[in-house]
Amino acid sequence: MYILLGFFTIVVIVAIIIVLLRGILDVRNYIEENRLLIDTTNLAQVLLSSDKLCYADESGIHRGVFYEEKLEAAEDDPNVVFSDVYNPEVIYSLYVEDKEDDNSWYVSDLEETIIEKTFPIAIRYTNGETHVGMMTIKIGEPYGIE
Amino acid sequence: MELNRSKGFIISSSVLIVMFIIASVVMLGIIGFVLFLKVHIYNIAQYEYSYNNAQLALMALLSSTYDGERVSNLIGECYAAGDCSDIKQVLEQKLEALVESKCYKLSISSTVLASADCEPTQYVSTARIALPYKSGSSSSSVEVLKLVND
Repeated sequence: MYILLGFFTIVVIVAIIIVLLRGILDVRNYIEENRLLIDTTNLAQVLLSSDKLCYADESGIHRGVFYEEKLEAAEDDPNVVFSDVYNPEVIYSLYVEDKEDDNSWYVSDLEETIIEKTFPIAIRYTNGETHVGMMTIKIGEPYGIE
Repeated sequence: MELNRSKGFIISSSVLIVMFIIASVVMLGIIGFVLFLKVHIYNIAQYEYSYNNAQLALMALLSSTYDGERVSNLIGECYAAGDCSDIKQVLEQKLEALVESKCYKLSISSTVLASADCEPTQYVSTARIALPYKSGSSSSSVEVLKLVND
């Protein structure tokens, strides 16, 4: 009986250690997954204030209002944006879509993505009209390389 | 001798049962704590993303134009005039495109300017709207525009 008791104690201790380690690993992976979402949100915040994309006049940069001319320039040469908004740990691409019209702009495109998130924006045209739209950010590998 | 053996057996069995109960409680505690942490982490990240989008949606709506006029001005003018039915459809079309969940309510004070067939409660974003000058008044007033969406 005492041998059985000793054996049971060892089994219980090992089982608790395994459950604990699995739990720690599980939470670690989960933190990593959610860090991706937070990183994407932070990247969007920077892009929404970038003078390489946003409309600007004498009063300053209009946050969240992308300008048609700048979007076209960024589509022709994505480095205009990537050299301004840059994170060595993140590779990303940008897709802007006018929701009131059929216009859209691709600032590069990633084939393999690990997360894709959309953010509401406004798009100002050269004729002064401003439409509502969506910005899609795709994050690709290699993500988080230090 | 026989009595001592059965006493020992009873004590050992009791210790085994108590250990089993303690082990179960500890494991359930660990699993529960891990689940709590996961839900908590998910809620923080998701809330930040959704709350941020609610604010961006309101900002994009107010920056956009309709018939050459900024939507923020249109809202101010119609609210001051007491009738926003003319732009209700425009606002709903724009919000439909901006709010991913398609569940939203745009209001000033108790006046609902645009809404979907639902009762959103989760994310609230606000902006101040300047109302046009009233004749005879030396100052304009400001109202708080509120967008609630899920």
